[in-house]
Amino acid sequence: MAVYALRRLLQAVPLLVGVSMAGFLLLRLAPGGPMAVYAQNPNMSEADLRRIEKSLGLDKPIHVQYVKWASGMAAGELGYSYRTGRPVGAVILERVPATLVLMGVAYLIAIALGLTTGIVSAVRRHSLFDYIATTTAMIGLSVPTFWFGLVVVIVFAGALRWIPSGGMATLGAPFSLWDRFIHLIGPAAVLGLWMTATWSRYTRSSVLEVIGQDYIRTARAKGLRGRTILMSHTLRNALIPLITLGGLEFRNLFGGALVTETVFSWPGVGRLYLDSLNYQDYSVILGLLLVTSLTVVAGSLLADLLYAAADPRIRLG
Amino acid sequence: MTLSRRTFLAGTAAVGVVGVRGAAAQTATPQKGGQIIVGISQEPQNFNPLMPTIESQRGVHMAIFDDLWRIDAKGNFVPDLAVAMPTQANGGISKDGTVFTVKLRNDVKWHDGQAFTARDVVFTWKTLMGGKVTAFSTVGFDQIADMWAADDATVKWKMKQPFAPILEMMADLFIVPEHVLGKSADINKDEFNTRRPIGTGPFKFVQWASGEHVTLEANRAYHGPGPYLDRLIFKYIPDLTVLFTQLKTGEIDVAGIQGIPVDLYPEAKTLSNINLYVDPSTSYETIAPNHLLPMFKDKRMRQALYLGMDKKPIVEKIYLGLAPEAESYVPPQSWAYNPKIKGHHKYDPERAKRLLDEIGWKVGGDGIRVKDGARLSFENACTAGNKQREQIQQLLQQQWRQLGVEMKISNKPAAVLFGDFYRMSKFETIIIGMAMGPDPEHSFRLHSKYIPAKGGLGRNSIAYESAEVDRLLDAGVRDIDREKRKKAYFRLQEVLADEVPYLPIYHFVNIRGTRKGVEGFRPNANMQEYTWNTNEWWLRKA
Amino acid sequence: MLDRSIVWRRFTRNRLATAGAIGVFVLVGLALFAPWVAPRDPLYIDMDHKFARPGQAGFVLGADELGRDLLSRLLHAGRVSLAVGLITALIAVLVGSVLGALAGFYGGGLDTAIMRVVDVLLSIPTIFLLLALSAFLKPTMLTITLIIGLNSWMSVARMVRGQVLSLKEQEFVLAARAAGAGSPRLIVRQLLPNAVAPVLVAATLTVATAILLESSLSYLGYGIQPPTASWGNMLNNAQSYVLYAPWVAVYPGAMISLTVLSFNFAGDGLRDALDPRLGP
Repeated sequence: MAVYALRRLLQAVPLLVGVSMAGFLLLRLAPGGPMAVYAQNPNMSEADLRRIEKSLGLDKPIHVQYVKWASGMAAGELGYSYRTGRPVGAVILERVPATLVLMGVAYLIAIALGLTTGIVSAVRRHSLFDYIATTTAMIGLSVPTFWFGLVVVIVFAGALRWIPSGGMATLGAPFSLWDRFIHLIGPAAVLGLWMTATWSRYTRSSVLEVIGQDYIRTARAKGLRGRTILMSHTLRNALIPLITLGGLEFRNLFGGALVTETVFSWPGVGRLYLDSLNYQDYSVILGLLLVTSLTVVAGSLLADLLYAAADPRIRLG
Repeated sequence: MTLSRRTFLAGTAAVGVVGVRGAAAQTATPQKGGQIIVGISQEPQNFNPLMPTIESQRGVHMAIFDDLWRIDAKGNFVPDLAVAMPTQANGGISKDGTVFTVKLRNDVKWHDGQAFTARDVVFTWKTLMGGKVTAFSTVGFDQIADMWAADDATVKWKMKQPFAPILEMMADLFIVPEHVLGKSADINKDEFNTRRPIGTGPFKFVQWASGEHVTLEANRAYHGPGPYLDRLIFKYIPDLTVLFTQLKTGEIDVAGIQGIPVDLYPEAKTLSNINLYVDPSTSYETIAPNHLLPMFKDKRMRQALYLGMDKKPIVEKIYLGLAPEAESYVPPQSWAYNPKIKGHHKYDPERAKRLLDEIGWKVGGDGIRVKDGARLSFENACTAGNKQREQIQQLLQQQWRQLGVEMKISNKPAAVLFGDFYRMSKFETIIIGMAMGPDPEHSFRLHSKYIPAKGGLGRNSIAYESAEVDRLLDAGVRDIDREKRKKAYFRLQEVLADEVPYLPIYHFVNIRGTRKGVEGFRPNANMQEYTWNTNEWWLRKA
Repeated sequence: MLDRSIVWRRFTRNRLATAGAIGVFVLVGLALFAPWVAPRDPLYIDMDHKFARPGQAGFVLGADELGRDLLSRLLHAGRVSLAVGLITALIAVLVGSVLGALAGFYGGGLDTAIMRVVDVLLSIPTIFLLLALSAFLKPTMLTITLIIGLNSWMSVARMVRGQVLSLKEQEFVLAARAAGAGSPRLIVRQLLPNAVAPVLVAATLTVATAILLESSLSYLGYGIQPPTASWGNMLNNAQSYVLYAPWVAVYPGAMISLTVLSFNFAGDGLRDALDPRLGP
């Protein structure tokens, strides 16, 4: 398995090179550029702009810029933000914890709630619960995240005052876990419930699939009791394929997080990405594309490894 | 008493200037302690005031750094690091208006305890001009030929030639410490910019939590009155609806940058726990046509479009009557404002149609005018997502359609719009906000030598050329006498009203709000940022 | 392939799926006939009726911030939003099927190249990629549809490739080959029809996703530009007015949800109906 993991990791290298080249080219060919931000300043002359451009190395041909950037990358050097002059690695790293907390909690909510409703829905197929759960999940998937988030802010924070309307903590107050917790409720619920819907639907169909299979019928025919069958045979086999979903969901999770972070002023990487785009801070945008891709790739690798560990029929190699 | 900027250059006697910045009359004795959280929708990321900046950053700079003087809401200069304003009467400005001598306070300390001296001022200017730092601007500061420290408490500089707006420009130059940045290997990447800014202002930098907030604490050694607060926090809230919600719930105390969107104003008015501030600014909103296009070269075309613009629904329905109509770039509160301009623009679609007929644009089959086979159709761009501008665009589209003019909306993200597209005059028409600043000098927007598409160094991106306007703009800055300057600018506004190089719509207003209990908050159009007097802010305890 | 009548029976017996299908037909019908159904010009601005209430002054569903008729705007916006969704799905299906089939059928270098591109695109979070692209292009309906479409074909490509790989070795294909059928002909005639079922399901779900993505782009400031109305930009524009003109926000929000819901139900039902492993 270690060999397999290593090989998969090596395969990720050309992938990341691909991502970086695509990203680099895309950003450089685009109109505007990081200079546009400065150009908005009415006091800045054309000569000032040319001077800044030169000091940022933006006047060189594109392949020269890429080679310079890529060789820095290889040495673990992500370059400097055009906007602040700070190292890109540090800029991204300080945003990672916020996103990890948000995504982590949302993930837990989604898995706990999604698995439970999905299993019950499947076992009691066509029951009232199944209809309600399926419809709720579908509605959850059909409401735009930003809209759900804004409604939560306007209703639960603005009108009812049950939760704070944004940020990670009360500013100027001493650290308290409770304070962190109530700030997390809104964004985690919005992001989590959206994912719950996905998990619930996949769980339901996965369980249904297993229930329909021969060995469960055999078990039933052998006279095993419903609960025993459910626990020992069905669930185990139904849940294993969901591990793959866990890996795939990473990609969508980042997207949902970006919107949720904007609504709830959550200082995570998604928001950083959007801000960097608005200011065309190329080096940060590229850094973020690489970091998120790496996470997605690592996520699916992890899922595959777990899958193999959980299902003895699968052999990697 | 503070020295009026209207009189200082005319040589009126200046007696005992005592004010430090914002030392205006207080209605109540300030109470000490507490913190104020300011909500802002752009994140400040660079705290070096010499580097390129955005509005929200400038707001933080104002609390950390000082300038030689500031300008209050009435247009009075208020000495800050300087002891007094230099005038020709007190010998601070030479008779020919080119040599300036400024006496500095000797009781000012940097946040790290070092003494502030005239050498810091000289260092600041030299660094700005020297090319070692990515400078926010050198326009105007390049009119200074040389600057030097006569002694620790006296700074002197010599102008290349008389340049009237220099005192206003110095109100915009924050002084940075030589003993810190002078040793820096690369100022552009120095920790000073993002982690350890050191100023002389009322608040000291404590922490910037990326994506979250910037926290400042009181500078107890501050040389002016105050600060009264213990802490001042700038909280980053990207969504304006959420920012407003936080003001309602008390999660922030001040709605700072971008303030309260006009769409939310009706609701804000009904809230009893909020003080609303609707303040004029020196910016105006305008349609800018590209004068490189043959269509817009004829002033009768511009006049016709302007006559066909009904500002009433824009000002009354979109802006709820809060923003005054604009007819030139000079705001009504400025000393240079020519009152005769008021009412010059009239909505008269019939006359507009006649004008268009006169210059050969005849109504074609589809209702759009045609001349020599070309349709009277152009694109208009603004920053995608700017709701008020998008509403104005759609309204104008309908109004101009009635003249037989087709305007197509084609908006772009800010980074694209303000790149080469705008700067190098690649647009057709654009809706844009333009700031005048405290001084009426506006050459970089109007003077023919400042057209970037023709190699100029300024921001005359509409590529407007007029010998008469050039002459008036030059006269405006070369004459140091306020009354003579006034004449030039009055005449300029009359010429512009006839020429309509820009089609001004309204003067911008900032709608800001604070929680009840926040005192000393006095936004000031002349200083751009509402944080110009944070040393005076205080919290009334319930 | 399953018997058509069985599929039909299964689908119609599923109440949610039937409701979804009916919803899709009604929505598409309304969009198609919007110019005839809409009572007014969706772009006509009437500032005197800013925020007219539903029913007031002949505005059936009320008016928006520029006094435009909301009902007419909703109908016309439906054309835009549905077009974005359907064209996106079409692009995803076409590009995905062609590339997936080519990769699966020919294998080797072509397969590797195509699947590496799929991998690269699949490793970048969707919204990140969409934003990067739309930040630099003029946001029109066409570019936004293209951008979303070109980001949605990868899963179809994988699916079709998988199908083709497994079908390739089956008897009827081998037989057709032996009978001298050429490659392109084989792909089109034999392989693609067999992959239709999963692709159809993927297409319905793509429509739903695309409509949601367009609304997210609007919120982030990179969506379809005015005066063209889409449900996404109508909903986003309405956010400031939620408290004193809630109807402006409720309708477009409801339309998005209704549409997405219909397509998802229909797609899900289709998947169940086409699944050979589930009982009749």
